[in-house]
Amino acid sequence: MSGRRVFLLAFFVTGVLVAGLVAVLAPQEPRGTASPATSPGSVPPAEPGGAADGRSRGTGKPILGVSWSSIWSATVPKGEAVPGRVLGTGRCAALHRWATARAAVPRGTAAVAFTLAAPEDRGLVVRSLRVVEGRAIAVPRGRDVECVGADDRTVARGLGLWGKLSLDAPRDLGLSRYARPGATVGGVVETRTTGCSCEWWIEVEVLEGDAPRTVRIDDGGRPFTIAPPVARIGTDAQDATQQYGAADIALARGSVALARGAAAPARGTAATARDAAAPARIPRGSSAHAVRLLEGGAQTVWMAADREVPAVDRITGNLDVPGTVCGRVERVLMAAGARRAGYTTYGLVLADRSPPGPEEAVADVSLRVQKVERPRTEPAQYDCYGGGRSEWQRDTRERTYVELPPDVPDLPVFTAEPLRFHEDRAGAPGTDVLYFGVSPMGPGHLTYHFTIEVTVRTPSGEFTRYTLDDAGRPFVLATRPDGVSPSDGEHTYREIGQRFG
Amino acid sequence: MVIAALGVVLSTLLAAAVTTYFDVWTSSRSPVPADRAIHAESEVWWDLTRDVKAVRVAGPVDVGKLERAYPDGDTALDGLVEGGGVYAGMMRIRLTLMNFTKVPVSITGVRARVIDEEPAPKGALLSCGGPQGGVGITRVRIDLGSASKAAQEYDGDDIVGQYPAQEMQLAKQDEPALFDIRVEDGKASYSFVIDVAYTQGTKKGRLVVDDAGKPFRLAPAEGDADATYRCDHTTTRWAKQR
Repeated sequence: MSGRRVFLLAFFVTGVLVAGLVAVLAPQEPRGTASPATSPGSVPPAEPGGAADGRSRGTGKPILGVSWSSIWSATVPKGEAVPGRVLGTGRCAALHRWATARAAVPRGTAAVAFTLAAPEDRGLVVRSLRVVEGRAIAVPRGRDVECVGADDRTVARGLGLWGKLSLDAPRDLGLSRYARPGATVGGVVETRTTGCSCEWWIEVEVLEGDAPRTVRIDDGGRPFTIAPPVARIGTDAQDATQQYGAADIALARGSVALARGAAAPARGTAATARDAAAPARIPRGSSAHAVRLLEGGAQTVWMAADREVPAVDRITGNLDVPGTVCGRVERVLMAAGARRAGYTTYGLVLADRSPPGPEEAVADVSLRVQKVERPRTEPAQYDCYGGGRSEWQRDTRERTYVELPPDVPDLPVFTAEPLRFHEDRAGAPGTDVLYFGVSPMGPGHLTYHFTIEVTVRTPSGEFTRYTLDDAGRPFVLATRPDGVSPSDGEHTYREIGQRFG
Repeated sequence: MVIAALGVVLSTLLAAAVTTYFDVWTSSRSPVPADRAIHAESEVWWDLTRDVKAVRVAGPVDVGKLERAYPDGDTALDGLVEGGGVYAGMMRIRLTLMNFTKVPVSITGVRARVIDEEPAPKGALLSCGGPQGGVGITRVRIDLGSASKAAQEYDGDDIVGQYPAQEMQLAKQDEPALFDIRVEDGKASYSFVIDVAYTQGTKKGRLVVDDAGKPFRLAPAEGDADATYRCDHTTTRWAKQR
């Protein structure tokens, strides 16, 4: 036979043999049961979660975090660039979905929500829980992403934190949780590690009726993953915004859009004030961030959208769930690209690891308008009044407010405003927050795009200058020509009743 | 021979590459059992701007002691229930149904199921709150005195129909289903759970919801009580009515 034929024969025979091998060894998808699919080489589960009918089953999923003070940090393998639409203020849910779909591995800590369902005819008692380390995985290399304010909204509010457990020092968490026949019991667990780059899962010891069992909880059949921690991406100021009711912040390391503004302030002394664009040195330890506060933090929802957003109608079909409707409406509108309209309160947070003392530092703050545009079509206006509120009231924390006219490119907000840094706890960076209101003015519908210019000055003549934007894009604020507290628009909604606490 | 070996090697490499992608592809599609990936949480609460929150206790109550022990009427009522009393009249139950799967779940039915029944305790009845002006609309209600105890939808005071009459609640992976149900008392003191019927694709399922492992309990607010007390408008002091 000729060389070519030999080659082809060997190639095809091997191909057929290997294909046959793969077909035999490949994961078999079980239908209608909870047996996890095992890929060749992974550790088989201790106990498939309910292979037969009438047995309790567990399901888990990775979540962003356990509270508004959580930070979610992960690496997305393969160096695909993180798209702009999942970065910035209020985009953590989108970033988490994008990253999880690409097998992102949490770094340092991993939070998981899970549910256990009792069989139809027997109650379930959960007696203990532990996290189990599985097979090692390679330390993931790729894009590091982070969420500041990692409060996961897909998790039911009542789903409590059962424990924070270490994979490096495993222990059994003793519990006594009960689910009656046909009911569910569930919670959230946070795992952490300093050195493990590995798969992991949860095992719970339960009593099903009288029978003790071990139930494995994993990610729909596959183990969870975790890898050692990486350096933080968010700044101290970004962290501090969360306690003031700010939206979450979705970040990616090295993202070009985030290279300006708060991450690279200019610093100098009075002598170089004329050449302020050239930084004397890159400062460490100080940062600033500005945010619009969200509905949960005392503002009503006023937004302008380029077109109608039908998803809002489905949410507002049920207004009799106070404390939840306006927040949901706001998130849906933000995801649809709507922008805040009308009077808005902003919080400017300054943080410093070696802060100046009281009476030592002052701040000049101004708004720099990049663009004023008039929408081509009349925007759809949405209003939502939550929890017993029927009209607007100024946020009492504001130190001042300004009216933003269309013809002033630089609008001063504070001049020589005294700063007073305080530490929440020993060793934490000192922070101060300046609240101010902005009332966009103008004939008809206008949309302002602006940055916030901040200069922190000390009596010695040293200054630090920041240009703050909304994670790489200017802040956007539209006018509200139909009055300060619109009350009867086509899309004006009021939550029914009030929730306390 | 070298050519044959080359063929084997190339074929194996190609097969390895295909297998890796095949592995990733099938793993990412591994199914979560649809009928057991819904989770329910419940919360009992009162809207003190529109509801009367009440408790019945067996035996007499020392309101002076209550005023000293609790900062307001609301927490005093909770304390009485911890000590064996039963909420009375009405309660709101907020149901949150969380979906762990990618397939949306439709909530097709909600009804209370009584698991125990007792006559109302004879002692004292204490209550706080009450409607303060306009807004009294409650959309979804369960009347424990009715035969079916199914959730009914209202438009103002007019009954529209049994849930789901106007709006079917959906539980999606990125947004739990949420609804508040106003539960009204019946003739006796009931211990009950809530049966939630749902559909996911073509599969039907049922979930039982209780109060963190215990049944909900609601006693009637009407009927013989040895003494009745109301909080005053500042909710710190109790005034005897009868």
